[in-house]
Amino acid sequence: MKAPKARVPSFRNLLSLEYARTWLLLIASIALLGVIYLGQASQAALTGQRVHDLQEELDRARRENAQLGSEIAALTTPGKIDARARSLGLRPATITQTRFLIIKNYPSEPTKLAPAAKEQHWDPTAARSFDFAAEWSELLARVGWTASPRAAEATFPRP
Amino acid sequence: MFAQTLMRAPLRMRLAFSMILVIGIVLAARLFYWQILQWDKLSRLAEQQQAIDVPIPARRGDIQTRDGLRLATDLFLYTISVAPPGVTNPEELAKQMGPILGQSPETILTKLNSKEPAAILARGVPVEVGTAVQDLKTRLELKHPGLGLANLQIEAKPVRNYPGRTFAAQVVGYVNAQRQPAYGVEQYKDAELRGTDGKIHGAGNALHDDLIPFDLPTSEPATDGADITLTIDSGMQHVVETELANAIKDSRAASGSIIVLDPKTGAVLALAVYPTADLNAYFDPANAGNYVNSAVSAQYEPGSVFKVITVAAALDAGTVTPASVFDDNGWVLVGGRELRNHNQIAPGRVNLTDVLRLSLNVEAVKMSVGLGVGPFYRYVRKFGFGIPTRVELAAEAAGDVKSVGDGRWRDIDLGTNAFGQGIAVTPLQMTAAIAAVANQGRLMRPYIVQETHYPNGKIQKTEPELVRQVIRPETAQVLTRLLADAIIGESTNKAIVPGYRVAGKTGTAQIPIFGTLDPRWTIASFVGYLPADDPRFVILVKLDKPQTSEWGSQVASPVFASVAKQLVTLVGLPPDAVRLASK
Repeated sequence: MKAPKARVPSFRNLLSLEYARTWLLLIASIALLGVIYLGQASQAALTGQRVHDLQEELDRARRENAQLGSEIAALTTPGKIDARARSLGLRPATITQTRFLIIKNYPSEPTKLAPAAKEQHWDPTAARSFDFAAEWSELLARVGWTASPRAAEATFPRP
Repeated sequence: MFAQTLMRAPLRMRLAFSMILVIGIVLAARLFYWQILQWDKLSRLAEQQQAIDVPIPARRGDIQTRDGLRLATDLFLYTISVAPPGVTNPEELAKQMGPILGQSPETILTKLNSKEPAAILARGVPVEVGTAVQDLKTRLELKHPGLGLANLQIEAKPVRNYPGRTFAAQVVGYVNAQRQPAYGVEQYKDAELRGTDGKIHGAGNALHDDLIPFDLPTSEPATDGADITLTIDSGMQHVVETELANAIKDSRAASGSIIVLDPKTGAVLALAVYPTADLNAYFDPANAGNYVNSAVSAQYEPGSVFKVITVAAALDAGTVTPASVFDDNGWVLVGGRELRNHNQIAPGRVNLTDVLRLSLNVEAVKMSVGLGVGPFYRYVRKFGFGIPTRVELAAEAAGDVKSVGDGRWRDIDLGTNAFGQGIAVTPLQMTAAIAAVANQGRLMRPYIVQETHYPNGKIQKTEPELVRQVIRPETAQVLTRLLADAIIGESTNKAIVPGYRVAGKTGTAQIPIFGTLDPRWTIASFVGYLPADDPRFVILVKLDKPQTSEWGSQVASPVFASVAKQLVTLVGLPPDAVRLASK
């Protein structure tokens, strides 16, 4: 006795209600994949835009910073400080106006010139305070209008 | 079954079905062809059409003094342009842009109404104007499409800026609009300062002027240039520039230079040259030539200052001693020619201090002849003459020292070279050589770059470099004493700094012109160092063609004294009595 043949669904059977669930599942899977892909593509586009915007913001901040740095440099050149100090009635100090204190056996080191500028690390969260007197003294010392803070008070021996 | 159904259908239905089937097969085949077989080619074509590279300009490194004063930096200037055909409401756009650009709306309207495909509304405006325009565009672009803000192009370009203008101009040099450097540290250190431009790679719009964020853009970040810190001290630089300007004005000299070196390290603390010019106005034809650093690029015959080298060589070789005495009758014969002292003086019996004090050519010649050709020129080259010092400044000259057998040297040169004529040096070479005497006979390489800060955080420091021991320390000490005594003994010398022992030498050199010496003009100079027992500064003052007096002792020495007084105040260097009393 022959085994019964496997039943292959005909084309008409594939369109019947019995297979509707399978079709729906297939269509739903394809739709889900499409949604996931489109979502990822949109997210990539949004992220790309965000990166672009942030880069522009960073560039803008850097450029503004460079502009401000240049303005500060222009305002603090020794010539400008010199002129400003003179307009305030100040005059350059001379060595004869400096009094030195003689301390025997004071541990001396070679006179240091202005130290190299230390690297400035900008911390945007740090609270800022401005000591006007200290800043002004430093600027005047730069052009020799006041004795360097390193010079000790001394008795100047008369020639 | 389907086939049976089809065969039983009317002919028209069979034909219709066949046509639909054929069309479907053709479409599928074409789709397969374009989507699969031609995919590579079409992708590349799309990439070519859509891809744009937005350049990211690298920031050129800053140049600053040792105390942090910025001398050169990059600023970004903006160019604002628009495509007038795309602007449908030019009046409103002109009204919005006018206050931002600082122009009248009528001026802007004229540009917007032009028939040109592109109109530049503003060029070279600072960052605050550029960002204000950018903000306006962002705010109104979508709300008011008629304004044509989508057509607004805002382009930022880096431009080199020199906040100090003429300050240390010849040391810094400049970079032009094409970002090409010229002169100074800008040219010498261009490779470190320049950096590398980057780019953002992505899909662009049809005008290729903006990125469309269809995808994450890929980018090659720009690598900024290194920042350079010089050995120049801004306070000292200001002192020498002011003093040089005053000296030029007082002596009515044509040009000049002042150099301050640290003798122990070779660091250039200040270097001023006159004439000078604003680095931001390099394009002005009137400034052409004013950026040349004559302290390193121009050579001159140093005159009597060079006698320090001759005396140093003779002392070190032992052909003279500190106790030597000489009979000076005012002339000497060398190579068949007669060489005389200045002003034809014949002082008679003199010692070494007198030789320096009276600046006797004859005794200098006798010393060089006594040394002999070989040893004399060996010492000259040991002091660094005839070769560049390798300071980090562009276009350094080597000077000119004739050699026996080079076709130019004559017997007379052994005599004239001894008092600084017939030999050419640069001011920096002369200063460095005297600094060697001040530094116990040790010649240090002059340097002007103290540190290079790379963007990756690496800091390269320049260490002082000993070139060679030129003369013995004992010789240097003896010579220092002689130089200091000579200054004190010279009643007309104005190089004295009260409270400090100064060692130095004046120079009044004639200028060679067309094979002879110019009878009208001189180069007046003074080079000295203080304090003599522990020198902190070596200062050279050189004035070209002074009119009020030709003598270095009259025009250059007082400038040295004035500079020295201010420098000791600046650094708080106590007078010798105080300094030595505290030891």
